[in-house]
Amino acid sequence: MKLPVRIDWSKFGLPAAFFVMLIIFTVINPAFFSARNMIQTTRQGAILFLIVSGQTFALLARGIDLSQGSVMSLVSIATISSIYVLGAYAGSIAGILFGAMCGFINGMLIAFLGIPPILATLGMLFVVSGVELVYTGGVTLTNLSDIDQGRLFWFGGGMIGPVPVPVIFAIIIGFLLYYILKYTLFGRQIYLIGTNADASSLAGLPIKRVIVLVYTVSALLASLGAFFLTARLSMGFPQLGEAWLVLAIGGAVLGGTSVFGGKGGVWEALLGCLVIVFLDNGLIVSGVSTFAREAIIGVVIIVACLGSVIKRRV
Amino acid sequence: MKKKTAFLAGVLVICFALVFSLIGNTQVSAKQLEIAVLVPNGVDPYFTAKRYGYETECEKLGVKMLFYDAGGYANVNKQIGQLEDLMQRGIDGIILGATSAKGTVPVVDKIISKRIPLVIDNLDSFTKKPVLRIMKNGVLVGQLRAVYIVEHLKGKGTVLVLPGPSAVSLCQDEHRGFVTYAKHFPGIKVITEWTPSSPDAGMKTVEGILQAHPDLKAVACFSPPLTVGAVRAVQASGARKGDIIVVGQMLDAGMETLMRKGWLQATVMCDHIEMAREAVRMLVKEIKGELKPPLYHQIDHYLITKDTLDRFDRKGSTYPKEWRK
Repeated sequence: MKLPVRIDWSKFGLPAAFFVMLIIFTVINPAFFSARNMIQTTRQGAILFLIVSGQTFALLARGIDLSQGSVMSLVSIATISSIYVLGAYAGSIAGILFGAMCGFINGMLIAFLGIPPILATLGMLFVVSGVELVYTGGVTLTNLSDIDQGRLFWFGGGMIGPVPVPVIFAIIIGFLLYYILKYTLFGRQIYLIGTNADASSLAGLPIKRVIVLVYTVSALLASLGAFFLTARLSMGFPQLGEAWLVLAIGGAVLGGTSVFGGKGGVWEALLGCLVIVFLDNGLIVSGVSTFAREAIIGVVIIVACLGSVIKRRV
Repeated sequence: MKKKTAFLAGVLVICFALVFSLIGNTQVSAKQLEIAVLVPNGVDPYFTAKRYGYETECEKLGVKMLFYDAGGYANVNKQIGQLEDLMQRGIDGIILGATSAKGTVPVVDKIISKRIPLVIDNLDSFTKKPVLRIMKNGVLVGQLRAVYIVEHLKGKGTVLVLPGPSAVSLCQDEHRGFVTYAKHFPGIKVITEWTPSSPDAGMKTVEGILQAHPDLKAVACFSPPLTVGAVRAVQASGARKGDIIVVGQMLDAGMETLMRKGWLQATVMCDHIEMAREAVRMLVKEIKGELKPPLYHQIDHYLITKDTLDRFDRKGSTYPKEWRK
């Protein structure tokens, strides 16, 4: 007997797997699907979504941004340092701009000096890590004034009605990014460059300008993620972003963004980060040990990468 | 005449040789000692404070100090590379806080066999060769946390232990100390989550565990970053101050604020700045051949609560605010 409707598993496979996963974890421990757990997990997911979206931009243009983690750490330090001087709001903006500036430099190095993205962003990773450690001397920055801490904390830990503030921001930014990629010239140019850079160049596309913008956006989104995380912790931690780079690349690839460029988008970024965040949370809530948890997440990312390679061959 | 001249020339040569060798020897003994300090995770406030201790003691003794940070407990290879580079450099002595107790053994064995003076400072490397050690008593630290928590929970409740990175010997000792004490109280249920020593890891883990165990009554943390992360998760859960007891490790400015505000109930301290100073003194004595046994130096620990916060002697554990600015 044939099914009346043919399901495109390449499109709906991951969402289906995601919902099955939600059901399994809920059966194992109903607390997984509680409102409180959903709120805190989506809060974590919102931060990861921003970072994964940034990485998606770089991957779409057939590049990669390895500096995201260290840029996050820099933003954490720059934000708190700036708040000491400028107050919560201006200081936060200054911190985020510091991070975006790193992306701009990445873009310039790649577009105008012809340094491969993997090397340019790797170099930036070391430069930024070094600079922030020299600046802080490795010291964690804390002790904001109560007023500044209250204002900052709202961005990371506050709620608007039943929804965490970072989630609201992530939704707005997500729609904006979706619009940019789908309906603007800049968005289409990213896909074209990612699909075939040589042809795009021959067609007269402003490749250099697009590349600079892509890496600026990537760093800006990582900076926003770092800002919300810093706000939540109310501290500047010089290694804040260390663990996030792997999740950013993993999330983007897991969602279906191709590591070979030109395929993917915001929806894929969202899916990827939801799977990672809920998988991690579900495993904790289900009582799976730390070591097994890391192995499971690693296997899921490898399988997703394998899927990306197989799809490309087919 | 010729013989006389030759004799005089010979005497002169010998005199010159003696003078030069004396000058040479004087230069060797006056040469500034150069030592290296290697830590696994320099951004941890514990190591920041210790750096102050190393720096000030080196300054006092006229020793040049090179400081190396592995950048996290996971970077075992990086630390091994740093140690190998230092061996090539011909460093006078090394103070090591190991990223991994087992992973660093081959390189530490090599250092010992090359007779480079070495002091292992708190984070052990499981070498079987004799080496100087200055250590915290990890088991006792774990037990101090357990005693405080068990007493406040009156022997009943679910406790989360965040011992930090699993490859670190001190974390294993602290965990063992906690568990061996808590097991005498059947009403205490211990959950262990090994995590990196970062605030976001601490926060995420406590948030998850709070869902799985809404009856969670206490959290014991290995490091200041984990402690701050755990407190943030407790705050976000809607719990009131003291509903969930958090016991940390060390005390930096951020933790002190949390303790004064009532979110952090206790923290286990040691005079870690004094410990760093002692490590430098031990190493310099070893380099000069002045050190006599014991080869193992252990330091004391104490527990601080909000009530004793303003009364304990901070000399050995707090660096001046103006330092590192």
